[in-house]
Amino acid sequence: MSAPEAALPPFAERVRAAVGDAHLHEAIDRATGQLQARRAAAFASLEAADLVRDHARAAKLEVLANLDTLLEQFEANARANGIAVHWARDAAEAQQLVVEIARAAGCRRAVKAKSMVTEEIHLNPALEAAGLRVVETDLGEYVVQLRADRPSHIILPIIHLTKEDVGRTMEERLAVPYTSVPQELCALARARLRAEFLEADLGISGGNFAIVESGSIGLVSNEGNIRMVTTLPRVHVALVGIEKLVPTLADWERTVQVLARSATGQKITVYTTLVNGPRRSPSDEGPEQVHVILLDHGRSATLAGDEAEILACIRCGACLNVCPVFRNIGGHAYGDTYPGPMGAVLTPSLRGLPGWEELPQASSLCGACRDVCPVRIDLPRLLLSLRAKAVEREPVALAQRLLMKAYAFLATRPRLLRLAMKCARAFALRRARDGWVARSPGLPGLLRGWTEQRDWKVPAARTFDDWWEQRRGSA
Amino acid sequence: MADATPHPSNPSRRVQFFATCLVNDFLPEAGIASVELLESAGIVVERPRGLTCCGQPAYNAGFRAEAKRVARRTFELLARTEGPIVVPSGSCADMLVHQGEELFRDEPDFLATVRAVAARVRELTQFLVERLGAPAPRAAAAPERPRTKVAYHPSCHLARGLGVTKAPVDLLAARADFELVPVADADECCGFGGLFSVKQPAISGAMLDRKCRALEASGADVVASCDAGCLLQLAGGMRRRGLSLRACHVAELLE
Amino acid sequence: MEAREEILGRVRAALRTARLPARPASLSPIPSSLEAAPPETWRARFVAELRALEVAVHEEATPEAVRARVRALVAGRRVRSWASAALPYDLGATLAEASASLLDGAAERGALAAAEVGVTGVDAAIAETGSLALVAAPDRPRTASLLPPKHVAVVRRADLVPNLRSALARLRGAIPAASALHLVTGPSRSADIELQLTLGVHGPGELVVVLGP
Repeated sequence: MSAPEAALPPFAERVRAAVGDAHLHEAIDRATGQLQARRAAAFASLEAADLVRDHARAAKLEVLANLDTLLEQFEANARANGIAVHWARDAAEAQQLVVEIARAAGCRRAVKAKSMVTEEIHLNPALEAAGLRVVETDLGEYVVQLRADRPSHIILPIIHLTKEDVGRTMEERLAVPYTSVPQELCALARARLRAEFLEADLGISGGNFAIVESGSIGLVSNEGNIRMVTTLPRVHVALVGIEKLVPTLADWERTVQVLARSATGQKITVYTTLVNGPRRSPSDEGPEQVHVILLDHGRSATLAGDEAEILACIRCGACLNVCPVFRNIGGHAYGDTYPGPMGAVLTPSLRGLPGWEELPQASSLCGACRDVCPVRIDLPRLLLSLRAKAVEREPVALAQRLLMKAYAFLATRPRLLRLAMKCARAFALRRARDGWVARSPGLPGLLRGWTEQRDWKVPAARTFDDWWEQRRGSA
Repeated sequence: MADATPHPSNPSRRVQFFATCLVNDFLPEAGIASVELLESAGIVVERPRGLTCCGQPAYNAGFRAEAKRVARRTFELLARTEGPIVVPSGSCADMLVHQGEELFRDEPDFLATVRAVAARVRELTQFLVERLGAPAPRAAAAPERPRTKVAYHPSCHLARGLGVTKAPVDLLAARADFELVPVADADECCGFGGLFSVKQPAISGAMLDRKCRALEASGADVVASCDAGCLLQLAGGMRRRGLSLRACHVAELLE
Repeated sequence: MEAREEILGRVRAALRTARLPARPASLSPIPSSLEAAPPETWRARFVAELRALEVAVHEEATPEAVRARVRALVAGRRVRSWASAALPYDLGATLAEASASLLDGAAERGALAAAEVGVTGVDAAIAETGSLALVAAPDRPRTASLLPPKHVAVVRRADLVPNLRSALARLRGAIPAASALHLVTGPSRSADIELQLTLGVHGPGELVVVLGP
């Protein structure tokens, strides 16, 4: 369980800041628009696309339904490959394991590939506190690290920044002449990070997939930094959520391609890697030690409940790119590692509802996310499930409880409802012009929320029921 | 009233009409137009007494106990009737067709009632096309006759929940006096989402801004939808932003 | 209680109450028209995919032509390559003659970092996506396809397979023994900055495929 840090402003405030930020809005809008289009094109050109998605979904559901036995099998197969397998119940335990592995091997300098799970457990500060130097190597994450910022999208971490922002960051933090040309900025990062890769003795990655059949870790990147991180340092540690398993290499083959198409519209990511284990001999290349840390951190608790299906998520980001809420507020407003529709379900599931119950509320339940999810997660159902859970378990504002009770009372008593609507009409008429109530001071709760953004229509003088009864005679 | 040739003895020409709470109180003209459309197609329309709401507002807010009270009553009232249940609202139809199953999943005995009702529910345009066939597009009227530019807004629960995307468009396109104009990002939600519109007004407003801009850019004279919630959101939003676009229910245009 | 036992215990307990959607009893296999197509078509598809990825492709009709092409690509350059025995078309000798220096075995960091061109064969070439499958092994060093700014991959017709699942079928025996399997599809790229495409962010910015008989 972890409620948001005290420093995080309330959700409503974060939302208003984001909605009012025209620059953020434009950046997110443009990028998500492009990603949406690329995804659509990639699926239109995929042979038997629906069947492929069915297979991907079936594989993930099979994993969840048999998670205990499959975890044991993965561990056995990975160990047979020479991979050391560790288990972490929570963030602190995972951090501790990485520190111990580093200490035992005498590692001082770490290079990190982009990994959502390491952000989830706040790994970097813990490693730095233990005296390790940690450098992010994914270009976007590197910039985020330089800025002491947070990523705003799970696939494109600096979608919220302009090239000028990046240029200024590099100028300040790396003491280089200013440029905003992307090719030049990338060349700067490449040069700096090349030196880090060559000096590092510890490589840290996440894991897109953990393949049970072969005991391997599946990793994807377009830049090549994951290959660097898993090849050059003496020690490689991969942190993998327990839900990231896939049963077979055939499942990996299908799912890794569906991940690429969903995330960026590519047929496959430039560097698609299976890590089987450490170097096979002193003349081989690759790390001397490969470790996998299997992380729980709220996943078993999520599996136990009604929202278990969210654990099928393969972190493609397609739901973010079509979500009108995400496209309007960006990633930071969600306040935690995972934004968008999947984040609105996963964050309260992993961290507990207290402090996060507003995330599942921030949705109009339009269902665009469910349509694009490669493993067909029913996200609207999960959002509704969390809303119901919040009502059952968390304190709800008295005004809302009373409102709902009044609603249920009236909606089951048509004559009283009719009377109530006539009162509402009378109330509205006093504030209305031409049948509409505009924004005006002193309006109560719901009306205030509505009229903040649009005019409210006065209830009709003659309702449908009135019309019907007049022509049919109360039939 | 259009003349009809009702056949009370033929059950397939009789439907139960559930106006829904928003139509009843805020867009009665849409309900009236729906009934008149059905009758002019030779359908006998009945209205079960005492119908109010499908329970969706409480259900979407997570208040399942309250949602059950309201929905149970509605399902029971509808279960006492026979024949297709026609609903002039995509989201209410989806509530009855899909969400009732979820809401009452811990009451297997009542589920039989829920499923029997759910199988009979049709959204209005869905029913019209299913029952009467897709209309053939008519040839354009005299070229000098000005056509009303209509933008169709697909409500999310109708399009994604019920899978009804062609029926409303086909019905509108068959009218010689309408020109259907495309809208950028037409599939994107208008931002109503029930209570979401008042509990998250900033986000709802931002979504509404995008939609209003897209509608304005489309050059449409009127935006038509099959959902009263969307229509209230759009009408109220366009009015606040000083746009001259009208918003009306598909049934009103077709009538 | 140990973490492992506790986590497995929690997972077992969770499965008693987990709400998981039903899985289909069976699914039909995924069709592949490319698998069904004649193998001659795979080569054309492979080349088309490579070109779309901005990979320079040289199709050579004879082993001599392949060697001549590779000679031209590495002339006067510091080369990091697979071991001679692992390279096709007897390229080991070509590289030794033409390059300014050649690292084809274990090597120290500084030298590896200075390499300008990496030369490898492939363990499979995937037509559907234009991907190169490279199994990591002592005679197939990973850094050859990773560190230098330019990677030259030499592909034989016999390496071609239609899709990834065929590649896995072919490499099934090799994978368990290997420390890693790398699939390379085009040059290194990033679109992190305003979604503008840049090549060569960490891996090779230039990928050249020499496709021999």
